[in-house]
Amino acid sequence: MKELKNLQYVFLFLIIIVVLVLVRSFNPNLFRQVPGTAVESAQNNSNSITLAQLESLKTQYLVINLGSGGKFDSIRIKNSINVPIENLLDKKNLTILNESKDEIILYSADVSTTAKAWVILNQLGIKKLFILAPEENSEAFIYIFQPDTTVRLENDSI
Amino acid sequence: MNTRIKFSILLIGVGIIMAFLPFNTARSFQLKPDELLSKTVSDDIYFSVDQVARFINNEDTTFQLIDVRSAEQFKVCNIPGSINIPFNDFSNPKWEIYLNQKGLKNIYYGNGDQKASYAWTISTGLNYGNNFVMKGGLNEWYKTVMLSQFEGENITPRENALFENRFNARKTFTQINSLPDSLKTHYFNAKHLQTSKLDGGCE
Amino acid sequence: MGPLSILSEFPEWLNLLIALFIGIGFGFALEQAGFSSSRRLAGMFYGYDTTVLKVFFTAAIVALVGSQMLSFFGLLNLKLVYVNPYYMNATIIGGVIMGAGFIMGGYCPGTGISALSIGKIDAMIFLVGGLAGAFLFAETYPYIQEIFLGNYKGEMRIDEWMGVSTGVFTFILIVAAVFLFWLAELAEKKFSRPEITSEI
Repeated sequence: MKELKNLQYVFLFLIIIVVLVLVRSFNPNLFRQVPGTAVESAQNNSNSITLAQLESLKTQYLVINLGSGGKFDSIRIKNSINVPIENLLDKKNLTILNESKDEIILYSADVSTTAKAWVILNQLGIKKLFILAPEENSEAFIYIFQPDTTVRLENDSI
Repeated sequence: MNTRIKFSILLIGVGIIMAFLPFNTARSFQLKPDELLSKTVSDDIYFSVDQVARFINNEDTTFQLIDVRSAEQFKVCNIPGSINIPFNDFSNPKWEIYLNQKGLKNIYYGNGDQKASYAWTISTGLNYGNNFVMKGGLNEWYKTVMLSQFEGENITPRENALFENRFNARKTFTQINSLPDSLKTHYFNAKHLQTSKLDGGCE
Repeated sequence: MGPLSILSEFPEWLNLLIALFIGIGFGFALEQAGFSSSRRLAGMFYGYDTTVLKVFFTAAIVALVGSQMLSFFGLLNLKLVYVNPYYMNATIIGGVIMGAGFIMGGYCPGTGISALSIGKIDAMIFLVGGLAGAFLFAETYPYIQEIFLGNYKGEMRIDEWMGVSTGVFTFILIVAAVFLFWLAELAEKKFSRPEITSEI
């Protein structure tokens, strides 16, 4: 009986560890992904969708507008909700995002905010996440650089 | 049921728990989501193109500019003194010594803000040094620094300083980017060599 | 205690003080396990005393499980923990030399110091020999540099090389350890030398 009692201590210890591990893994405020997945999904703009494509999309989608204040930025899209970026990780918003079966499309007037929010949500494990491609400020270089072939740096005085 | 068997049961039990650990936090973001979000909404992570132009004119060495565009775009033209870490290659461990240091400020730029912001978020999430974004990217740089002209008759001292800043940066940009390719590759390799020498340690 | 994120804000002197206490604890543990006796250490090779295997394997498992658990709960930043880079040539040659030295002298460097601290003269001579070897290495370094730096594999980790997750690798290691402990018990019975084990 004494040996069995000592064995109970071992099992108690193991059960405590299991409980701690379970509690930790159900913590929603944790990044679970590896950054490589964000890099892969964002390569070659494969996570970005233009307004024209959006309007012809057959599947269900949900647009999240990340602007704050009263400025509900200019584009009027159906199925859009306004979640100011500061409140993106509030409990009720996270539940909406986690439980949504539709494609989630992020949008704001400033593409920089959208891009950062996309990375954060992607690393929290939310799939089917896209950004609405901005009209201006795209990732293509819109100018042409003309090299000046008469440059002779060695003739410049220091 | 002696000690050996108890010890073995304890070890195997712990081993089974370890085998079923749901995720591995060693390579994920080190910051918590709400910490990362509060850094995201703060405003002091941006540098304007005029500020970056001033850094270049003053030959400021406390920062490094990181171009996240592809290598071909980098070769055509880039801001003098920047290193090229293509975003598609961002998770390659060889870039870690450039990014993960507390000495220099990292300023990311792309053609626009999108890729630079991705890079900024990933770096900040992994708790690498000080990260910033040049607002507007190279398109904004071109529009402001390279192409802007002064309109109007009288110029105030402040506008004078601003335009002088832009003209100097314009000159540096044109000159360095007009170098023949062979000189350019030497210059970039020299910059790479310099940085890699810092990784010595006690080996 | 740098990598422990809850303690990484400590000032430098406090980190060093903690390191001092950890070192004292390590020496204490070595001496308590009986590693100051060269006969116990040599017993690992002849089979009559397998304490070395049990102690060091247990230490490795505690370190592995502990660091993985702490990293899982967000207390330890595993990226800051140093991983030895793997130079294959140097590891093999160094391992052979150290194995030969171990069985001939009956000490390895750490246990040699713990034996020295209780006044053993053979440990003193052993350490002098060890330092002479290090001096010789430094003096002949330009000639052996190529061999020493050859076959560099980077910072390899077994679980990455095997392609399994770290948790699964921990489980495999623990199963291997338990099996080896059982094997060690059998070996002790088979190769027993009561005339030595009764004295150490």
